[in-house]
Amino acid sequence: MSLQDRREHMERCTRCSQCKWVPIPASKQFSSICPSIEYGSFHAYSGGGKNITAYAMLENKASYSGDLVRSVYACTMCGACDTMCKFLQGENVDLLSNLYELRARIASDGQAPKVYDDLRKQLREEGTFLGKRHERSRWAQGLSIKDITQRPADVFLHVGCNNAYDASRWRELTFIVSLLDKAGIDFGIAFDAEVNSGGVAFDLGFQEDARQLAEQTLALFRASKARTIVTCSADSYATFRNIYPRLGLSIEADILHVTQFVSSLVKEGRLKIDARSSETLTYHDACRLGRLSEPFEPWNGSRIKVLEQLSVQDPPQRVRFGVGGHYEVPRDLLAQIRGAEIVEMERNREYSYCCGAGGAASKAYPEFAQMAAASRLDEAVAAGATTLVTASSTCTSHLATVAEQRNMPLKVKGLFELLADLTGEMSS
Amino acid sequence: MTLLSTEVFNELCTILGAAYVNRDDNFLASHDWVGIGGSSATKTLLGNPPGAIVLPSSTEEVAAVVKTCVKHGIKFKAHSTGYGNLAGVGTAGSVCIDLRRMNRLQIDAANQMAILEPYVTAGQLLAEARKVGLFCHVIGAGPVHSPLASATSFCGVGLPGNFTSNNARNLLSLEWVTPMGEIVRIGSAGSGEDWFTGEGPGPGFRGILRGVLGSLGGLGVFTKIGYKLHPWSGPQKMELTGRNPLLGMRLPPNFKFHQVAWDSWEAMSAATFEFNAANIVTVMTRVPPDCIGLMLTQTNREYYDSFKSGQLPPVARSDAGYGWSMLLTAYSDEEIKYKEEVFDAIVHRTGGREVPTTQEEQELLALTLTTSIHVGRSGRRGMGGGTSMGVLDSFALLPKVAKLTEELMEDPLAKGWMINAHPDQNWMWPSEGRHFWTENAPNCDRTDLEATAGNMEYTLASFNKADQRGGDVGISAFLIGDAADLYGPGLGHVNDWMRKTKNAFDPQNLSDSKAYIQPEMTTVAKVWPLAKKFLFRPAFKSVLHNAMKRLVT
Repeated sequence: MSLQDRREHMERCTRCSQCKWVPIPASKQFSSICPSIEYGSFHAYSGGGKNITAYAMLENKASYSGDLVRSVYACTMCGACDTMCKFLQGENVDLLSNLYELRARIASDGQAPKVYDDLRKQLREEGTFLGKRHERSRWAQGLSIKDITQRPADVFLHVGCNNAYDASRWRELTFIVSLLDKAGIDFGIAFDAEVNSGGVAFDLGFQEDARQLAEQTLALFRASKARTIVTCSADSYATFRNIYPRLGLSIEADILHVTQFVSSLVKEGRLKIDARSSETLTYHDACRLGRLSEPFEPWNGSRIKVLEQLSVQDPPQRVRFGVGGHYEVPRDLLAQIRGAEIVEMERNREYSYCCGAGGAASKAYPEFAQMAAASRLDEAVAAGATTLVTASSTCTSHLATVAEQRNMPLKVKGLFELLADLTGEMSS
Repeated sequence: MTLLSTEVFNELCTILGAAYVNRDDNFLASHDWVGIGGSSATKTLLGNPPGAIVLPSSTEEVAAVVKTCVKHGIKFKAHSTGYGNLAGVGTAGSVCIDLRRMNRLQIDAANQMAILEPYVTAGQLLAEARKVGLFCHVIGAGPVHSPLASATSFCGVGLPGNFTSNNARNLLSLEWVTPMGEIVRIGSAGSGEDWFTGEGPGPGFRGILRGVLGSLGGLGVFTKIGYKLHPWSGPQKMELTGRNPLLGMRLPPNFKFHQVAWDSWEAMSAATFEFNAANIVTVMTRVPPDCIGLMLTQTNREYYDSFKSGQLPPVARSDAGYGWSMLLTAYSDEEIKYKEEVFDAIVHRTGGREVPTTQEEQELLALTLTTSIHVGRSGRRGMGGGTSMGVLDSFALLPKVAKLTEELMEDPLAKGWMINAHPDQNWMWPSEGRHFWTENAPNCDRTDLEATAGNMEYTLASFNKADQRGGDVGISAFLIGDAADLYGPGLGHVNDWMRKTKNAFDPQNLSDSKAYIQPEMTTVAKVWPLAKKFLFRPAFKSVLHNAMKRLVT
């Protein structure tokens, strides 16, 4: 796939601007769905604007500049514009695919923000952009966990970079480990052999780096012979389901997010949530656990004209409308907390507003990432929540930091962090 | 490369701050893109970019920008939400005044009005209005459009218009930056009062500035308006049903959706007068069956497969008959019961029938009737196309207009220039239960040169037919751009009035007139009275077609 291959899709943008908004806003304040246009204001920052930039590059009507790069990269690749574009345009534009190729072109031309050079170097050398390879499993020190690279296990517990390197998330990891132990699950982790799954490299346009990381990850999975991969990382969950198929790669084992796995254990009676709270909780749908985790299905076809003038995909292509994400299971887990009131933010599920944490945008444009988080936190407060809960450690870390900076009357918790707080432990 | 000089660029930066002025190539390209149906181009980047884009945050800043343009003789055009083919500037090198930062909104619930700026979207206004039991008009462009732009500068008809009127009539007092950069308040705000009326106390020339159609950017910049809101008996917060993209709205017990059809346009027209007299229908809109099919399906492929296999639901089939989608609303059980009884009686008496619909279809169509949210899906078909004359007139003309345009579509349909679904692509949007708007708007693939030219030909032929018939198919309401001079003489010489207004307020012709009227008649317009006598004859068909091809290339 190349930018040129996306030309026909790009041409079908009607410039309707629906990519900037939720379909039916519940308020003026929270009507936007695109942090990038909120930050940059010029149309070029919107999904449709980026699409035009891509097309203008193909037509030699746009040249590289700081403005061009900022308008493309001050963006988390959250996929909201794509979901909203498809709301009206169905298969016509497939905006997210255009944006991936736009970034790939910019990266291959060596024009991506320079700050990502270091990130890329670190990814290559350390297998992560958040620390050193030998520091990856510090969180597991003192825990008795099987090394799945040495001994087989039924379940490969994939940790994810942010979980592994952000010490504020370690409590969640240790709690998850205790749950799996209590449920009697035969599981293991890859300790320092795990590497970044490649999603961030793909998002930034470094598709070959992404492929190499993906192949390393898949080699680990294959070598483990585990039948089930359970990932604690929302970022990786989206990468496995949405990015790997774009790279022509597939995972032979079952892939589950840890919320799904724990929820199934609860349903099977192998775990019991015994938690009580008087808090008002709201759940933040992380983009990469939500709309971006909807599986991508490779398609090899063409457009044909029918009814004289109607262009359709032949054969039919499965279109990702954002509804195939992972929305209800985390809410089901929250709903089991007795006494807690659960309220929804105005923008939820496939219409969730990105908090600014994803796609490493905060590395290059921290003020953009903070703006997005502030909007999301304000929305939680407006919903009446006292605690915002999310199931993505990347979102949790970012939102908690910004909430603290803004001295907000709102706690930010990871889902398993909250359960750990409320239960101390879950009974088996 | 931008056509704007560094001197002017720096002056604009001084006014607004460098962060709010941009002349980067790719930013300019995003205001050079044409992408929605009815546009007269087969390409997307027109090669007509602005020289700079500016983002003012206040009326004073807009005025300063305009004065700078006047000082240097540079054209300018206001830009609100920038929907489709109205996104660009008419002349390369113009200053695009993007009003995105002007989005303040105040609801005056007691007086059923809002005071708003250009970048308040209809979706935002609807959300805030509903909270206080009010509703706003939404044009076909849907919730992303700017009510201010529609109310001041374009036609402003829309799906819920039966109870929300059209935007020419929803406009109250307004604030205007003239093409010379003066700030003028018109209507009550002009005398230092609130924003409740457009015709005084204070200067009252709202009609001159907008008329039926508005000036589409050709008469300066409108920066703030008073805007009518309408009583709403629905919930304060709309409860959505379904999932992306097939959203609907939960119909409360006091809301009833009906899809009603008759066997002929004549029967539908007659029944419409009865419904209007009874005053029981809140929203009454006709979406062509093919477009209902697009709304009820997620992709073109799904639509086509359903069409081909005969699986489209009755409401989306071309044999669905001639009728309306209707929404009855009420404040009480008794009121809705009364309306339903009257409704049944009228349908029965006029030979109508209910087209069966599922609950999901009702919810989706009710959301469309009230918010226009799914209307954009009609553009999914190809983004190119034509439209008929766009009649704004009496319901009595409905049969004549519909049949006339369907006749005009026969030839282009036979040539494969329009989506070969059905010649009935008639959208009909009543206004206040009296006049209605209709246009028969087929689609084509915009990348198909022959088809795009053929659709332009259809549009022109439609205008011509209306002109020939001397008004017996109503007031043709698409007299914008070059069409004003071609067909204005047959409609009270409206083009002369438009030109007088334009030249009086904009003597340097700097406010972009591409979609309004040129200060002088073009050569084409001058020879048109003679040319039109020949161009529409069969012997000249290829001449007209080739001319249209040149126009859209």
